[in-house]
Amino acid sequence: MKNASKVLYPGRWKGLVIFIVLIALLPIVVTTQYVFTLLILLGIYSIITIGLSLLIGYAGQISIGHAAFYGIGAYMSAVLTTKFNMSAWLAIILGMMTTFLIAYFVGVRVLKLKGHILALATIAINIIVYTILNGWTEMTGGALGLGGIPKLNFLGIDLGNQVNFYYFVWIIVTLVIIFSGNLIRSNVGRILRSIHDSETGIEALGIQVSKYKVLIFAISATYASLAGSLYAHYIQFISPSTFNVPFSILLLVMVMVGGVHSIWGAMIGTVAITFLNEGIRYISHNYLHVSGEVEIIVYGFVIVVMMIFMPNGIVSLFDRFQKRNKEHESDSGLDLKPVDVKGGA
Amino acid sequence: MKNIFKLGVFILLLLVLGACNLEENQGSGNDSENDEIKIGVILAETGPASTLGEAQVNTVKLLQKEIDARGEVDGKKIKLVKHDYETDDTKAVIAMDKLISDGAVAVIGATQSGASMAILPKAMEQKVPLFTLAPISTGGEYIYGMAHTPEVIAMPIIEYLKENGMTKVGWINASDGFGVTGLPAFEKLAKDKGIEVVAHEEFDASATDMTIQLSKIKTKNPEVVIVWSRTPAAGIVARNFQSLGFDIPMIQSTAAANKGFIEQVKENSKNIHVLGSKMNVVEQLPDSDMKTRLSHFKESYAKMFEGKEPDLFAAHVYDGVQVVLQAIEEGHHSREEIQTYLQAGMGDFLGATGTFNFTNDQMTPDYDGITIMAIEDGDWKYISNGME
Repeated sequence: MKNASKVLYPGRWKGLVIFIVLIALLPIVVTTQYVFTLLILLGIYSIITIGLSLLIGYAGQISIGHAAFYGIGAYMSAVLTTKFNMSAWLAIILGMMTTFLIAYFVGVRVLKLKGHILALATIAINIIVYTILNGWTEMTGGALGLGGIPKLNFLGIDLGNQVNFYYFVWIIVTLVIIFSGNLIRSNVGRILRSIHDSETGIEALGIQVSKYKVLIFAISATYASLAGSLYAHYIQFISPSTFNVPFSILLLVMVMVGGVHSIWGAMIGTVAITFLNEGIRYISHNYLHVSGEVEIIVYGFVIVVMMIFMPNGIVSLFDRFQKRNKEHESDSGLDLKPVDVKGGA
Repeated sequence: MKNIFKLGVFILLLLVLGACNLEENQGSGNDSENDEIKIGVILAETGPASTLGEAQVNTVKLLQKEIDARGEVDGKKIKLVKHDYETDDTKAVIAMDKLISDGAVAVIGATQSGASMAILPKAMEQKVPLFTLAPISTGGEYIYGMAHTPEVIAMPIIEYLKENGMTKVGWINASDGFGVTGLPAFEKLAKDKGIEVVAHEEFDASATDMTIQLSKIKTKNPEVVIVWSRTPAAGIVARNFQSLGFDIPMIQSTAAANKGFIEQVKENSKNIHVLGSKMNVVEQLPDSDMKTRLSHFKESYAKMFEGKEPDLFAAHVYDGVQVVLQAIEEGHHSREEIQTYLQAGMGDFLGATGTFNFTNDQMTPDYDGITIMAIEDGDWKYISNGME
């Protein structure tokens, strides 16, 4: 069994250790508030995109509505802490539970759809949530938004401090990665992978496919909710426009560019798109003297190029490199040729 | 081999981030050496709010030109650093952080209330004077409102009603973020003056006919109808009002003080009054300091942008930058010095939108910059209503 898992999944700890070291060391070189904000937002977005990669890459379902769950989390945190004086931590957990239930019950119906229709239905979810956030003025503050959201405090550590919040967010990202990795390596993960490859096939084996699809949909929505709560407590002000369809699409672009089949891919995509965005703004503003949403054009171009030349995302570059190394190593030994599983945790 | 590759990627990442950082540090380091003072401006140049942001962006260009023409202040160059937040609150926060990292002495922004609220906590935390361009619900230390609060906008209306002996008001507003702010502010002021709101109706901001609501108001026999809505809905209310044959005055909010509204109403402008900036009627004003200031702004803007007129949103940027410039010219070159100066030394500041006094009220200019106007021959007509 041990060997089987070795064959099925590439090693996970090495990547994780490198990741943790990187996160721990970054604040040595980073000192400005601007870069810290970018890194914190990166962490928050990564939590959502990891969830999306579980849903899209592993289970083969699509969602263009995750900004809705991000919004539900953010608003649960904001409303419960500002209007009901609830503890921020309790609000985050309540937000996640509410989102899980909403996503579960919505998912039961919606995930019966397939392909383009499913994509449209998830857009509809996003629009409905957006409309509610905008219209329920007494609770959400409507279009004017909701301010005065308190900062987090963890056992006396002030998370209002940027460096502390940076570590806090990335510790959560690490936990999310480990949890997702375990999920993928469990029997649930293998069932999800099979759903991705052939729904009919796995159904023929007597497994209730819909149960697992809905479960993973709800889990990825819960991730988004957690990210939303963190966003609300970091920015301290939220308004509905942040949680509209364009953000869902941006998340999808991140996952696709990085590589949908891998958790690391989702993160690499998030980093790539966020820094690309800032880079484009910097270059177009300072050198080309163009202002406006230039990045949208570049995104379009990037997606087209990626789909043609690198359909498995940036992360496939790493995989290709790793595979070549493995082939070199196994020349001398009698190892089994590794099964071509794209990515892994 | 593999490890070397991974190590390489790791070092590369660190280098990239380090480079980002280095550039930042150099940026702020150079400032003190180059003696450049940066004033940050965060505007919605693109996205849905760009209809408001466009004139503001122009104003920044105009002001930078004027600043450059005036030359250095105490041997220091003054630079307006403009960021487009694309009508996205998160991007406004990133822009704010960038400005703080770059060492901006003050920040003017953002175009909308929402984005202003989003960057407000950062300003208070980092002690950067922030001049918001839209009315916000809560203020704080280091926060200065350049736009009129709904209470201040309601004041000239109260004056007008008092002067004309009107006590019964029919109120109609759009049910959006702007529309709902008017009535609570008005009622608070009206109570003491014996003015009563006898009818209140709401409509959807995207509605195309308000005849039903106006008919309901008509049955209550008000002496005046007040409308709180943006255009184009504001213009539709005015047209419906005329076709229903009302024979009482209508007063529209500052949101209707634009050319689009005049075009909607056309010749049917009898009895229709609009609350607007004095800038709209600057030529008709009696001579005053404010007139000189307003006509300078209006003329130089028209000269630079081919006959276009600056609006109230542009005036907010103009005022914000002028306040900071005055502080810098008086020799206050750091965030803390500017803050102290605004609180204590500045006194009255005559802006394009009214008189500011930051010792008394940080959130709004006085109502001396706005006035009630009529429409005559397709243009605004100034009516002096005893406030001069």
